[in-house]
Parts: sequence; structure tokens; C-alpha cells
Amino acid sequence: MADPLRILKDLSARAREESPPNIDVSSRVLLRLRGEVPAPAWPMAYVASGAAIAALVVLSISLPLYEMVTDPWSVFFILAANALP
Amino acid sequence: MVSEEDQKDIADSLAGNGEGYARLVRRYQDKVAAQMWRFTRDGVVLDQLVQDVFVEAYLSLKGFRGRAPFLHWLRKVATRVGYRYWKSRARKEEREEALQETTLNLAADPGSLTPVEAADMLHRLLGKLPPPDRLVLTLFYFEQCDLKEISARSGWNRPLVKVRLHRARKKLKSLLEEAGMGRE
Repeated sequence: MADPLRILKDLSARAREESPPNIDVSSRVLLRLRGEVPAPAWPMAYVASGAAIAALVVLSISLPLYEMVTDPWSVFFILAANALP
Repeated sequence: MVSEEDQKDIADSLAGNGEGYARLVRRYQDKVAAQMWRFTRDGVVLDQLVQDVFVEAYLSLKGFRGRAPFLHWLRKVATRVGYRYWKSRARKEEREEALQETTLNLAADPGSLTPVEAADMLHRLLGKLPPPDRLVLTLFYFEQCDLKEISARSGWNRPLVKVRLHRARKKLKSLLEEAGMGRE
């Protein structure tokens, strides 16, 4: 009787004698790493903090201005209210 | 322990010196290629997998503690990459199998086969098993790893490796018997 696991052992032993193909991946690995390694985070942090400061400045200017703005429809409502008996 | 030249190249790599890492790649790529050749029979895929191993190794190089030789650690990364490749292929291969049942010519005596034929046959045979069974048998028979080594490379604990090995052998045995082997 042929033992299946014996066959597996024999096949593996024979297969181990095979030489794998020769390859040289060093340059391609370095190329890929240049694309995959995350860029340092500090330029993004500078841009983000600059944008946040600019947004605060715009907000601090626009809020008082907003309070000064009157509703353009208010004139119409006032006129309409005066016109009514 | 990590050799002195590996230590230097690892330190160079972590400092951002690409040439340091290129030296490590050139030093170990043949060994990694031999290991990844257990996971594929396609030269183009092999090239890609070996690249994947070194890219992944670089990205987790900070986690290398240096308690064992660099190659040991690299082999763990390689096993992870190869296993992931098998899992991603598993569903596609299942569909292909359903369309065209591959026949295993196992009548030949392994001793009469060339190493290439034996490796082809072994790949087709183990390829019929689910990835966990395939991995445990590949590591045990093909790579001649003991339970401790299989556990280290796969990340599975030892009792789990033992159970998986037992089940995988059983599955393979019935597979071979279905193919007409193991019977008088």
C-alpha cells in the first residue's frame, strides 16, 4: 500500500532540489519604497495651522460685520406694516 | 544574534540611507526568493512577491528587535506575504477549479520525476487545500520546519499548529486516496 504521506515526503524532498529563478529586486524595491514611505508630516502641519489661523482671522472680521448687516427685506416689511390700516 | 554587517545596514536603512537597505536586499533576496518559490510557480509573481517582502520588511523595520538573526525575521515577513497571496488567490482558484477540474497524475514514482516536475506536482496537490492547511503542510514538508518554527513563522500558537497539521494531513490523505493513491 502506498502511504499518501510518504508520497508527500518524497515529492517534497525531490522538489527541494529545484533551484528557484534568479532575480534581482533591489532597485525596484528602492523605487517602490520612495513611493510608499509616507512623506514627513511637518509640511502638512504647517499648511493646516496656517489655514486655521487664516480662518480665525476671517471669522473675527466677519462676525462684527454680520451684526451690522440689516435684513434687506426689513424695509419692505416696515413699509407694508405702515401701509396697513 | 544579528551579524555586524546586518546591524550596520539596518541602522543605515533606519537613518534613511537607501544604499544600506539595498545591501540587505541583495544579501537576502536569493534566500527569500527560494522561500517564495514555495508560494508560486510563476516567475513574474515571484518577482512581485519578493519585492513585497522587502517593502513590507522595510516598513516594519523599526519593530525588528534584533534578538534573532535578520533572516529569521525576514522569513516571518515572507510567510505572511505568501500566505496573504494564497488567501487572495483562493477564491479565484476555486472558480477556476469549478470550471476545469485539474487532474493530478500521481501515478508516477516521485523518485522518477525531475525536481521541477515534483515541485509542480506538489504545488498542484497542495493548491487543492485551503490556505491554512496548505501553509502548515508547506512549512512542515517542503520547508522542513518543526512545530516551533511553524508557529514562529505563521504567528499561530503551537497547539493550533499541531491541530492544523493533523487536520491538513487527514485532508491530504483523503485527497490522495480520491486521486487513486494510498489504495492497493
